[in-house]
Amino acid sequence: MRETRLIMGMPVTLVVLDACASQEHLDAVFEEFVAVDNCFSPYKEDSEICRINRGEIPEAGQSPGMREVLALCERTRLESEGFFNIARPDGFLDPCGMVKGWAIRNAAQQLKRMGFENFYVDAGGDIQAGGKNENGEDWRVGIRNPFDPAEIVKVVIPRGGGVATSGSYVRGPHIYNPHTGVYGSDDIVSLTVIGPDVLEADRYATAAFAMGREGIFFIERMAGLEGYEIDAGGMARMTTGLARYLPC
Amino acid sequence: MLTNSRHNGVFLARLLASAALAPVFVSTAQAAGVVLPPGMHLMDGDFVSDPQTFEWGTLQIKLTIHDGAITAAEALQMPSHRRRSVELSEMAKPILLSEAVQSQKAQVNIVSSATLTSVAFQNAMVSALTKAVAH
Repeated sequence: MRETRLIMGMPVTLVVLDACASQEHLDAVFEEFVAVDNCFSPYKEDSEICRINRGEIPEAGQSPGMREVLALCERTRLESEGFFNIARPDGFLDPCGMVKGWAIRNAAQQLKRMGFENFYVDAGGDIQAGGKNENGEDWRVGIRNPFDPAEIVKVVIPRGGGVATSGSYVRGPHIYNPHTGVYGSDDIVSLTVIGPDVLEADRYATAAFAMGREGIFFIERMAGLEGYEIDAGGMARMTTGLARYLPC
Repeated sequence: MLTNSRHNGVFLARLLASAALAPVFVSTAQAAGVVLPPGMHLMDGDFVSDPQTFEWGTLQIKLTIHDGAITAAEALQMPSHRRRSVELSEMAKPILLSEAVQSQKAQVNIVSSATLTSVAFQNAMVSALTKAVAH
């Protein structure tokens, strides 16, 4: 079964290959995404996050999900030396950068609890896959070309792990390098992280992308994470362990 | 006269959040995809959003309205990602393999990509459209 719905302003796709999957199963998983949106949307005045930001909910009154997400945000802020920060300049707390990966991971866990083995969940280009594809092979994930959305530039095989890409897809101005005599650019336009699950991949991809040129080295230092970075000049760099996720 | 612009902004935000914006690029096509509710009319002219600050910088857009419809969207400010560098410890950096990106013809099941500017883009759209609403 396969279905895509627009939730949280992005396409959310569920694919479940197991024969016993039914529409009711997919509906239940989509309902969870909608519930997460209702809880965390900064656009919905009555969302829990908006009520927290207006001071209407004391810390003790927060839902378990909110508490979990805010704790993850704080942990990631500390791990990334402040590069991951959900506090906007106006003081509003906006954990959207964490919620997507969290919601995808929860959806994958929900599918597993339903007894499914061969599936993937894709929300806005962040992915958690399980089991095998329709040909009985490992799921293959393409990294989109930041300069041409119709193309992919790399294939990775996450084998039960999660994949998340951060980026702006905005081409920065080229910079003249006096040492090489050529134009290049310092701007990173896309950073893909593969981690033990999509939540880990997503939160570290977000944090590392904010670090610019240093982000790929941050991923390199983190156990269990691999990364593929593309700069505005069309050059890619990868962590030393990425090879284990590449096709032979 | 718009008496409650904040309320209107929230309304537009909901509208945009539900609209089919799968924003990878800020484009006129995206902006033109916004469906206005019946009874809401836009004034002709150029409308500049308030700057929207998000994780990696500032986004500001200009919408051009002609005959009540969005005919152009332009990014006046986009995040540039030129950040202060991380203060690394003294340890030497590993040498990472690099390659020129090349289009792959291989078959894949799923595609990973960034959608990050989408929220900031929606906020900028709300801001510009709020200014364009005819009263």
